[in-house]
Amino acid sequence: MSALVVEGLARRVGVRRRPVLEGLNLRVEPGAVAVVLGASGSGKSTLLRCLAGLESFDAGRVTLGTLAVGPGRHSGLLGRVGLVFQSVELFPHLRVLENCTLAPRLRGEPDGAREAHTWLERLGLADRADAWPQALSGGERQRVAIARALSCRPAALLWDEPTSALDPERKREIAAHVAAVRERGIPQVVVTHDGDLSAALEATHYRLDEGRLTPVNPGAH
Amino acid sequence: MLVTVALAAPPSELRWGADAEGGAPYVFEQPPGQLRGFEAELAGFLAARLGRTARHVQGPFAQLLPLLERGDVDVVINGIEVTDDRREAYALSRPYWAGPERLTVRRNDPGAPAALADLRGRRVGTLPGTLAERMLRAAGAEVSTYDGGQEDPYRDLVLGRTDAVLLDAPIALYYGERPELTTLPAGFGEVRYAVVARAGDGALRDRVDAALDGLIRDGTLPALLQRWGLWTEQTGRALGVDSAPDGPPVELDAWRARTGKGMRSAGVGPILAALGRGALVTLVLSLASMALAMVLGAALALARVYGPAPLPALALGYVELFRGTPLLLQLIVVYYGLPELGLRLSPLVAGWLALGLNYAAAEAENDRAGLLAVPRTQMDAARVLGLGRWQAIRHVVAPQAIRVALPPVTNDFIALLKDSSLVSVVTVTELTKTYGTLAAATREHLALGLLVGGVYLLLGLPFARLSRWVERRLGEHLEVAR
Repeated sequence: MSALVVEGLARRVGVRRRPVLEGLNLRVEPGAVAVVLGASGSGKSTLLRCLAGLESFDAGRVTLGTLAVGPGRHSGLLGRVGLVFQSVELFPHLRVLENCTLAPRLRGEPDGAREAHTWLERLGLADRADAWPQALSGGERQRVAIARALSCRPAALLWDEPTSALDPERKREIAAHVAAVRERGIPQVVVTHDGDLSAALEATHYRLDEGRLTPVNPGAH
Repeated sequence: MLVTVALAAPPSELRWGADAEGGAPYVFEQPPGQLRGFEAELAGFLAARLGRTARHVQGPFAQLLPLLERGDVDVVINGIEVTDDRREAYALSRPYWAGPERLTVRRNDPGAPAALADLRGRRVGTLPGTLAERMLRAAGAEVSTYDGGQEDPYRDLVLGRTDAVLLDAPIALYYGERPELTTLPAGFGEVRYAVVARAGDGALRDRVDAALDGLIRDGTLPALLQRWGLWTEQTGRALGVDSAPDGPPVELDAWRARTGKGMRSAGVGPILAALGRGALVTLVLSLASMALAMVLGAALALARVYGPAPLPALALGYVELFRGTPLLLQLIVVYYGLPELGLRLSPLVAGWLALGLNYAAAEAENDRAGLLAVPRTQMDAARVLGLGRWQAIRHVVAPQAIRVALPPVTNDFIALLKDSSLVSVVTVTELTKTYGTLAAATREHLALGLLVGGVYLLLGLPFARLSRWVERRLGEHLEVAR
């Protein structure tokens, strides 16, 4: 695994080209976790969408090992960086296992199913492989989303407000899941405004403010 | 590149156009499926004299001359009146019949008109574009014209919707003889019928004239007209035959013995067989059109929602054009208009194409609603997992969109099944056209109408059931208990 390196990332949006990210720098080593805090509207979602390859950016560079992506329309980051959506976004017409194996199957990766089973088992979902997403609890659905992202063997994993839709007792589990992924040496970025979560994570903490990241002490937000 | 389906006839055929719906004594079906009429016999004799075999091409009466110009038929033989306009626009043969217009009124109507002068301000029925119509307008009558055949004007007269009917003597003879009606003995004016060929086809006209001369000289045509009870003094003068032919009007007598006796006279078997053929045409045409509409509609919806410029604008333009103009207009343009651009489609292909193109607009809107019902974030989730744009549409968005788009599709199919009756204007004999022909022949409009309505219902029902089944299958994941 390689580090996730972000250099001088800049992104303007809308007709008036409002700057959202202005020369943002970030380095996340393999197995390390970066927590990004920030008020709503500070550009956290834009940052994640740029890192996942869903949005292009105007300047800067994102590097993942041998993959280096600059400004432009088409991003090579799609399929390389996992993203656990705040709204989870399971595919409702596919069963749990199919949700996890769809992308590896289409990419022609024969051991996609094995990887999916591994993660479903690790996340306590082994007996739910044939269930429909609608039949799952909120916590189970989020764990399926995590297993689905990891079944694609991402080079980095991004989390968007992972605790926002969970009960308080379920929130503690997220920190355990982040730790499990860390064992694989995957660099992770967790965007949250949940103080309990950020305090529970062994991570470098940043605040996103005026388009740049500044390091902060955990719990000091 | 569209495929041109040319209708080139082998030269051994004489393709003659006529409308068999309600067309006694000219051209009609009795029993259903078997062509009769003095013009059907005349066409056979003419073809034999030309060394060809006669092939009847069915067309709505008002479309027969366009069909001729389109090249779908070689001649039209269907009581086409000789007029100065037509002499200029077409190659007309010598007349094969001549006779007066006859006025039919209600028997028990004390104020019934007795002469053309009495018709001023009265409501009088006739067929459109005829000498009778011109005479009625000149007489100041309020004219009702009927497109649906020769039965309708007399039925409306019986029902009191009109005060009189003025039509050619053969029609009055075959349709005006009813207990409630009487036809005045005196005739008005003179109308002549001729075989019509294309203006540029004078050679064929000359050969038809020669054939008619032969049929007159050897007595075939006079005997034919006599058998149908159609001999008139004017015909004798027009054909140059001095003495009236001998023999009883056997065909007229047979018609009198049969008509008004309902379905039994035609035989239940042939009626059901004719309806079965019509239903099959309707069903096959509807299925093929719906298949075209669904494929094209899906492509249009994808172009509109996901296509790069200018595809969305083009798809929107297509939908507005085909949704915003009448299907009947599109059908006529495809069949009669495209040949001007060198594209001649056979009737079934033209009907299939027009129905499919029209319903594609509706299906595109269904599919678009389905695509838009799937949250955009589903596309994002699929893309982040590494699916390409088309893979994401095919494996993630489309399966969810279909469930939203499917229920209206059934609805549209049943609507299409009914709209397919419009293709009779391009000479396809489907279920409704079959009904028109049968009802005119048997005068059983109500019973046959109910029967045909039942057939349409039966055709649509399986698809409503199929749709509910597919909906259930696609919705399996929504029925699980939480």
